Amino acid sequence: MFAKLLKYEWKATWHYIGILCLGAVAASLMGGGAMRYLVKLSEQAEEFDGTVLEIVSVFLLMGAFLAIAVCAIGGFAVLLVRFYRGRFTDEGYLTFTLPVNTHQILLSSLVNTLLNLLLLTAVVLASGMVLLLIGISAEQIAWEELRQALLQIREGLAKIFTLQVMKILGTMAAAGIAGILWEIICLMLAITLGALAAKKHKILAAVGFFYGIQMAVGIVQTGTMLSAVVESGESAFYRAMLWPTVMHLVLAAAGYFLMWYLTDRKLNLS
Amino acid sequence: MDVLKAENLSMRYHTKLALEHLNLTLPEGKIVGLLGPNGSGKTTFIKLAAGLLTPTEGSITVCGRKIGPGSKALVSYLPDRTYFGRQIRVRQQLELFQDFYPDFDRARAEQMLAALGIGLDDSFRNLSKGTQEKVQLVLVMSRRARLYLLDEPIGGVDPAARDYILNTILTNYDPSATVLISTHLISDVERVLDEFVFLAGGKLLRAGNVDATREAEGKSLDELFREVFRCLPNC
Repeated sequence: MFAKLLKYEWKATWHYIGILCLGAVAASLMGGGAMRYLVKLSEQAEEFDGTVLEIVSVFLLMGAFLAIAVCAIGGFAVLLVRFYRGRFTDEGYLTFTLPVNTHQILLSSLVNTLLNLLLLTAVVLASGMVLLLIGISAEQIAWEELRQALLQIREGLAKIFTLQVMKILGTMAAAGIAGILWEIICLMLAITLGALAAKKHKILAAVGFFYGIQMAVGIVQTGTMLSAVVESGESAFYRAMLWPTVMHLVLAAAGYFLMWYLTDRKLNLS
Repeated sequence: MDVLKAENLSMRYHTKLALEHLNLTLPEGKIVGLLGPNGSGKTTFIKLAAGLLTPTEGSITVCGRKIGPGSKALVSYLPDRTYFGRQIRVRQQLELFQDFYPDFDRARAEQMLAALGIGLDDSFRNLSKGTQEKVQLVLVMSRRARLYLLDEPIGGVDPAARDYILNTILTNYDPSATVLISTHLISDVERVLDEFVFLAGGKLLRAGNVDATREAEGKSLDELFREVFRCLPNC
């Protein structure tokens, strides 16, 4: 049943996410073209004299970066709107009468959001790369030199990436993953609280709850970071990185179970 | 066997008590009218049985199962509003019902939709509210459920649509199943009911067999309803 729920969650969002991904790719191609023109212009040592084409290229390049950012934010918004509409509007009358339990309903949303965000992030990063690659391809690329440079970078990284550095990077990656998980659950919890607590202006209430929770967590987090800065040293660094990781994981678990409790026991769709 | 059993059931919304220590049992194979004025607790009771609300006190079971995924698989619920997403097509909604409910008879649903002239590729965005309600009724009645919970199925529709809805219910429900119809339009549903339950202020006022009551009282259920609820304040 969980797989079926996940399938319907995916079906409800994939076309919006797909359109946004295509938008990001189109923007990267457009921006790449504009960047290529500008790079070529500078390579030919021509001065930027403000012709219409040059001005349009600059605006296209800026627009492309903006469009890629909008696609990323838009995708996240689509997923949150889906969570709200599927659970706390009239669509909830179907969702909550399906023969599944509340954990399955919530986890299907969470997994679908994470999968879509992963896809969106990959497309947005790839779009950025494509934009830059198209742009710099205007210059004559010495492929042999590039290969040598990449080899040197690899050798350099092998020296840099000692066990110690890997440990630091691993700690930072874990902190990042825990932070993202907590942010998603925090947003879902805020939507749940807003939808269940407010009779009117549920979205506004959800925004209020989100900033309220974020402020409370932020105060605790800042205190932790400050104490680490004061102490300094290697162990302080790990404490500064590990503590938010643990805190975010604990908060994510607590937020999920609070959301489950509210949805399972306090749901009132009217 | 009792299809639905409510024991000492209470439901409170903040300060308002919507249901108060309700005890009710529904046998199988009956069409039961859950009747009462607005605000009497009909929708609350149906939502509790459908698993959309959690009781403040007491318990409710469907075929001996506590409310949860197991009971929801046995219950076919028609809410008093439509729950379709605007982007969804009728075909996708059929697929969803087929995926989640093993007792869903897709062929029957398609047959009923064809009779109504509703295409499988029609999007709900383009269907009128009345047509959406009919699609929802078709989906709900195409299940071979043990208990049908129909919340105001004829509220807000024209008399011709009421006849269509009641005929759909009568011709499609499994005779071994129980149908609970909540309404305050007694005269329209009276002809199809086997049993009735009068609710007022969240309490069970009266319940019984429709024919036996009609014979004993010498009046129709509609007349009895008007007589009983005329005496109550706030009706």
